[in-house]
Amino acid sequence: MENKIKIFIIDDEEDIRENIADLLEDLADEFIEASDGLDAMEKYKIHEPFDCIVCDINMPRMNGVEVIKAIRELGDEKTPFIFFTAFGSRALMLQSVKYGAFDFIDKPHFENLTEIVSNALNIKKTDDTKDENLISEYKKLFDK
Amino acid sequence: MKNNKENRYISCIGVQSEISLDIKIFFESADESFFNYIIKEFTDINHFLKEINSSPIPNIIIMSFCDLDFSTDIYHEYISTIKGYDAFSSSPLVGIFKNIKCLNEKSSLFGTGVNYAHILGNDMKQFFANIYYLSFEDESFNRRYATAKGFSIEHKLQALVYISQISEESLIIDSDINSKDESVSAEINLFEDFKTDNLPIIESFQKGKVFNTFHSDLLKIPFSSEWDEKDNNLQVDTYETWLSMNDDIRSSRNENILFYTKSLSVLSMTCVLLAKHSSINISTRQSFNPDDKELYKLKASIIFFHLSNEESYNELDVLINELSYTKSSYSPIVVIFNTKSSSDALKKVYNYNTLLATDKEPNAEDLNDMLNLVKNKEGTNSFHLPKNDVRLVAKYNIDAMITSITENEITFKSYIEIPMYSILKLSIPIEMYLLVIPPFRSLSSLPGGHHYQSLIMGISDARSTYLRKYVNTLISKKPEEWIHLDFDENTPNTQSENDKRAEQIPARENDVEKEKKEVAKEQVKSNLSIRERSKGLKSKL
Repeated sequence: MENKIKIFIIDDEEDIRENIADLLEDLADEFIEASDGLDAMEKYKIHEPFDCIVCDINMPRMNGVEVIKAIRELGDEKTPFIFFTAFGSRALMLQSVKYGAFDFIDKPHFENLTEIVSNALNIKKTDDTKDENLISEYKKLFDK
Repeated sequence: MKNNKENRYISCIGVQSEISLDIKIFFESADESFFNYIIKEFTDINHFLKEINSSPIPNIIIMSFCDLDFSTDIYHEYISTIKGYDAFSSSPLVGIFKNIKCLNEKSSLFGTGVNYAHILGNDMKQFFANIYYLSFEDESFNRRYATAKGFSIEHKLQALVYISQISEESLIIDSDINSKDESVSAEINLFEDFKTDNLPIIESFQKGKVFNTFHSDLLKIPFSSEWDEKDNNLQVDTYETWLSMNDDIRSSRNENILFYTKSLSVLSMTCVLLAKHSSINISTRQSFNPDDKELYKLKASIIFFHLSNEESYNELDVLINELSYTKSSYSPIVVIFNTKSSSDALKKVYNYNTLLATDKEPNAEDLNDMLNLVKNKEGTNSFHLPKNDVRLVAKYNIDAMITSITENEITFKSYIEIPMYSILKLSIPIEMYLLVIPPFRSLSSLPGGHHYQSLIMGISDARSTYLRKYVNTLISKKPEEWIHLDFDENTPNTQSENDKRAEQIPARENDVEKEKKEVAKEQVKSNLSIRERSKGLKSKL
């Protein structure tokens, strides 16, 4: 059975969720949406696993940091999280890296979202080549 | 009951078997109601480093430097790494040396972290009493010596300091002494013609640049004026000639790496890397402290940061903030280990682009590959000597008034603030090293200054005997200045070897004495610690 790519979109604004799903339609087979952190946790337990989670970092009731922390505590260490951020989110961004945030993108500038999600999906697939990546990435930095 | 006792750990590294036996006997006799003394022996420092993660942090480290090859700087680098790491900074490191000549040749070890020096063959009772006090602030084994006192003899003591950078017009000297003046009076031993009385201080810094000291000074070299015939300062031609002729003495370790890790296994790994990469200096730290300005002093080209807990995330944030938001053009590569986040995420969070993140733990293979890419810096105008080069040991002159002397201790007054456990040198009545300690004797005050107590160390058995006679002479003569008494290094000690050996090991006390000491110990415990009582002066331990 072919593996379907499933992406979880968590944002309290419906327009944003639809916009994201449109942007990413070529990368995934299925999208699950949640309107805030609490909704996200309920839906996560029903629909997991996911290949990627795109999430607003600043939401009422349960913010993005609390979502990533809760999902990590359920044992999901690997699903990449991409957070939407806005001015003033730095404190939340700093907390989210403790739980392994994959990347950040400024709302509403989603131009690079496709590339970032594509990277996240590729890295999840090719997890075993991380060893080579470290030294080669280091060499690129060093040669600059 | 033994189970309720607190454990105290002693690590012995490469210690000769006869001394090792004496150490075991001493600490067995020291065993009492409150403490278990657990001695762990290591054949050499590599053995110590291999087991560093599985052994408890020792209360004291005793290491023999007698049979080691000092043709490279590696032992100095190992000691510097271990003692520069927070977990070990409070463990006194006691060095055993073959003889005075060996100690003098390796005196830069004091700058790397050796706190106390013992010469083979000297009085072991004194040795044990001193190191016990050093480690546990406990006077139980201190002996009462005949004391010459009641005088105030003016004399210049010398603080050991270490040249950490040499440039065309300046030196950086690492020391424990923070001179509040505009210049320092120093004795520099780079070469014979290096004559200067006072070096003006251009700038001062917290912490040594290269050595484990509290402080460092950037000093201007006062070259002689060609118009002043009476000027005895160093000629600029002489210095430039020396610099050009001594290109080969420059330390090859001119590439700096900083490594922040809370793991002792990783600390051990960095020592192995130091041995493998002789062109690289790796400074390993348990935590990042922005106040010591180490980032800017070392200008490390690479910073490895090993994340381990909540605290380390906060430290990383402070570190990269320092790098990102200051106006300096310094932007090293930062490699972050053990993070689940991607490099891109961290670059955005920290607004810092020369950064690489990995979820891997630091491992020898990756670190080795990364260090292999580090190239030697060429063409810099400043350099430093390898840590095993004794010419980097200099001395700051300190005005003092000697107030008492025994064969084991000297007390003196000074207006200079000298941190506890600083190393000084005194050349009369004989050459000796002094270790400033929190006083266990009541000392009179000096308004605006301090009255210090110091342990005499680094002297031979013959010199100890001489000192005993000298003190007795002083007691009888009550002088106002030092008196001269002939000294012959070859004068045999009149005690037989058997008598000496019999006295070496402190005897077990009788029960009454034991009980008295236990009561006294309880009293000491309920008082402030001696380190706190030492009037808030800085301490190296």
